[in-house]
Amino acid sequence: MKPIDRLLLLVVAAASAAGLILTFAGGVTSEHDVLAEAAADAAGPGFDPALAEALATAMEAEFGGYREPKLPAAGMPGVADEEELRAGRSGYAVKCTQCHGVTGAADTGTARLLRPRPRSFRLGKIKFTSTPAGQPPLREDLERLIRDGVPTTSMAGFPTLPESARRQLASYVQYLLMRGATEGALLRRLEADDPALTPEGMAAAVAAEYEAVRAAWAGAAAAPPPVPETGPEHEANDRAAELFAARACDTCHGADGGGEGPVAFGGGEWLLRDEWGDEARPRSFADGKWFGGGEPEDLYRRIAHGVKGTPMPGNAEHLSPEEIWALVRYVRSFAEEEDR
Amino acid sequence: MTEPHYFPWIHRLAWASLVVSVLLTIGLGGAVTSAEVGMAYPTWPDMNGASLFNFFYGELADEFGAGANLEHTHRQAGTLIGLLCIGMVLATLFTKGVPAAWKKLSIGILLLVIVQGLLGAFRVTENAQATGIIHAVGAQLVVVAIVAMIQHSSKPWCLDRAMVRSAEAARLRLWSLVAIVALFLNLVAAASLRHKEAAFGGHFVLALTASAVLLGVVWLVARHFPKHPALWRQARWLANLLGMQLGLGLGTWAFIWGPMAGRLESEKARFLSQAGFATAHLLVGVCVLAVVTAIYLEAKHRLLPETAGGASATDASGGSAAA
Repeated sequence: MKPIDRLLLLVVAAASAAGLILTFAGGVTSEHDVLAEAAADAAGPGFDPALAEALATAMEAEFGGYREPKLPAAGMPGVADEEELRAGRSGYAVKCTQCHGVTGAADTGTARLLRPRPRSFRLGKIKFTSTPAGQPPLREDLERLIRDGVPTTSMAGFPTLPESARRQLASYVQYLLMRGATEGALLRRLEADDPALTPEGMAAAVAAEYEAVRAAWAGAAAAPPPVPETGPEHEANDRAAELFAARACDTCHGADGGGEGPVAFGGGEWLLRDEWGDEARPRSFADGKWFGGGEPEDLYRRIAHGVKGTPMPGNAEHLSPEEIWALVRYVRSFAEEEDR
Repeated sequence: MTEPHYFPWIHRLAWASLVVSVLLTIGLGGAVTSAEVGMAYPTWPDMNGASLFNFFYGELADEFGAGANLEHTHRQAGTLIGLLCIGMVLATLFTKGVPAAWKKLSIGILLLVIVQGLLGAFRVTENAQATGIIHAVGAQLVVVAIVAMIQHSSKPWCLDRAMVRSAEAARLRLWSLVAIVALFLNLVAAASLRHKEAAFGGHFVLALTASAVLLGVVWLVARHFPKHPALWRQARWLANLLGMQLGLGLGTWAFIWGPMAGRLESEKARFLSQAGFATAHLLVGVCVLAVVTAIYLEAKHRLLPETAGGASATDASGGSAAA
């Protein structure tokens, strides 16, 4: 090898080493300056800057930053300690941020191109829970979603993750939901020009709103509604089609169960929206795809308690358990007919 | 010495595999990463319960979102390249007279493609973003291996055993190999930038380093092998692609981080320009790697170093030489 080649090789090796060091020295991360983003989100264009700044500061004092989350002073139901929360945040950064975003707002490029759009946790609610309408989900609901995913959507399940890792992830998602619910309540009050909100009183207001959110989670966990046994075939079965029409299920799901009822679909467009502002397409029973789980117990909960944040209402106050079971059998029969 | 052999179908299959792997599989894979829709379907080998061989793209886009079609067609292209590689293995195994080295090479390519498929599966089922970097680099290894197959099965290589003697043969071999290594290092930095938002500076330095080495390769060919038809043709391609690649790199930077980043008000226009430049930059980068691999193989297998006494069967200007 000529001396000039040796020298050039050394130069190339040194430049390559420098390039690799530059690539990895800063660590690899998919996070942005999340605290600044959160403050900007909270401020919005129309708010008093002093109030927005006070809200961002108070939120950070109560919950910490997204890089280093903090267990609120009043604790979180079902979350052991701050270490569990931070471990969950690490797992979330790897497994969840691409779709759900660092702040849980589902504002990523991926989220914009997927349907159904990945859930934003900023409203403090998720669709598929085993709790009555208006109540937050149970820990079990979060852990089940993380384990099984949402079938036939882009939400992956992680059954091979250790149970402890799934629990930590659930803790962090719970943190994002509770944080989102607290901040959302305060932002609504800011929007409504609530005179009780002052920069000086913001920390106390955050603590009070969080206490309401925490109490709701604790209350839901204390008394999860049971799913009654299916029992023997009931006479309500004979009235299932009648109940389906009486509860106006057909207006959204269609009389044929195809999901294109007149209230939901018209003029070639989907007409309903959920609370996240996305299309709310009623489920087609015929294709047998059940986002929230297709077991009879899952469907029972859905009919009884509704799908949170969507036009699908709960029916537990209007129907007896036997009647709900009859509807479960009825909606499942559409897919069975399709199979035949 | 074995008889000359040429099997046009194996050569065509290798070319088809290259076109499918570069234009379809890697191009679509790059678009998937640009659009950040790698997790459109978290299941594998099915897609949210739908078959991989579902060709009703409009319906799928309506049900799962427009981004899902990118991931869907990327997987279909991956399947197509798998089928082509299986065809290549069968053709080399069951065609009489095919050299053993070709058989091993075709099996190696198929194994690489299978590993790539499994890496892609792991990437989505476990949402393992770091695996996306290995998946991206592995795709280029497949390209390198297919280029080797194309070279070995090409008509000139099979029928014209003449080799060229040149004092610069070893030098060209060395620097084209260094260029391949530099391109792979740059690729790791670029893939880390795209998949894990690693620092831009690393990719910038490595891209400049690789470009300098590639220019050196072009210079070596222009200076010492101007009448070697294959090398001259490849060097011209390399120079053109390199110019295009630097332009696309600049465009990608301008639209993602540079002065154009804030100019486009429409979110759609911004997304399309960023994803378009980034994907084109990736595609041309693969072509650069393919061409410099071809130059390296030409230098390794078709050039002979000058003998001690300086006697040469032919000089680098082209005349036929007896090997």
